[in-house]
Amino acid sequence: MTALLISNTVLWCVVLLLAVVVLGLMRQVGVLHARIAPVGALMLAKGLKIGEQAPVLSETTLGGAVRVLGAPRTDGLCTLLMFISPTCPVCKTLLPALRSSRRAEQTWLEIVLTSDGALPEQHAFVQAESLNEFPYVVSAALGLSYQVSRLPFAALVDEAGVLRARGLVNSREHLESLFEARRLGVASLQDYFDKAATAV
Amino acid sequence: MYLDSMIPALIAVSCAGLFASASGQKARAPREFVGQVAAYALVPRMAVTCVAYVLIALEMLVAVLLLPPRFRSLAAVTGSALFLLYGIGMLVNLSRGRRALDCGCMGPYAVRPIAYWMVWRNGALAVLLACAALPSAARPWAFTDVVTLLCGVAVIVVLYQTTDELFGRVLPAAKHLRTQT
Repeated sequence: MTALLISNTVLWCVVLLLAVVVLGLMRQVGVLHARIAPVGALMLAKGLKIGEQAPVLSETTLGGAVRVLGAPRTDGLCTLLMFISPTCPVCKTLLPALRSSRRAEQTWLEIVLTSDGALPEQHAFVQAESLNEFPYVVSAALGLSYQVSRLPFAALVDEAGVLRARGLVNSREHLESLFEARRLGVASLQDYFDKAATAV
Repeated sequence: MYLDSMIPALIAVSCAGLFASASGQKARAPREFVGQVAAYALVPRMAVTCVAYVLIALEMLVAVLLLPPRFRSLAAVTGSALFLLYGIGMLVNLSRGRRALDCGCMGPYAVRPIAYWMVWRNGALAVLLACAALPSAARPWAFTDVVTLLCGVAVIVVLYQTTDELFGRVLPAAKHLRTQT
């Protein structure tokens, strides 16, 4: 009887210890999830500041529609200006991410592709990559006003025409970091870490 | 066939702890709990305060009456009905699309939105507690039984917290990460 009691007690202690260890591990997994920071688009030092009014430009898309980019929108949608080029290989790898983001974020976002260069080449690019679903603007002025020095570059302008996020975008994670930046109310990954460091 | 008296005792003591903890949190801030009950939008406005106080009192009563075997069946059935009632309240609001509604499960100090897993949890707890109302075979308890009861309750408490952490925090965070990639 004594042996049974000892065995039972030891077993219960082991089970309790195991349960506590599982709980500790579960909490650590939760903490790890909370600490996984979003991968950020690379902010370029020069250019427009986040929170500034975006430059307002009236441009014609390849489809012939006139768009006033950067102005406050009445439909409540934000605008993602995606600066790409037919000669930029990284831009082509981003196109599937842009297509899926256009579908996934269509309730609050419109993606506008912008480029610069000869029109026949741009038309051929749009046809080859099946980009007809996007408004496509060819404008050197747009790139200059956003001070785009490298591609692919993206700028997120909110419904009031305020620049919310911008940066060099090389991957889907970089692209989505712009959406996250708007959601979290931060300008960039650096800003996110600075805020997190001050909060600790 | 009767259950061994250890099984209803384990369930009853564990659930008594859960009800005591929940009602204690609610009793510490009754006005806030009235607000939480009102937010469920299931009770007429004039009856909200009364219903909230009755719920706190019922939870306390169940927590106390689950302990003595004499009242265990009555308390188990009442507690089971409370779990089901809360589960149905959450299910109705989830079907209304109000996913941001505060659960109110542990009073106003543990704010968390309602979710389908909570409905399943309440259903499971209701079934488990109803088992404590089933007739059990009485037998004299030895010291080993006391060890089993104490350690069993401790393990159940830790496993409850682990499950809560898994479904309430870890899985939603993992789902959020999956949708980002």
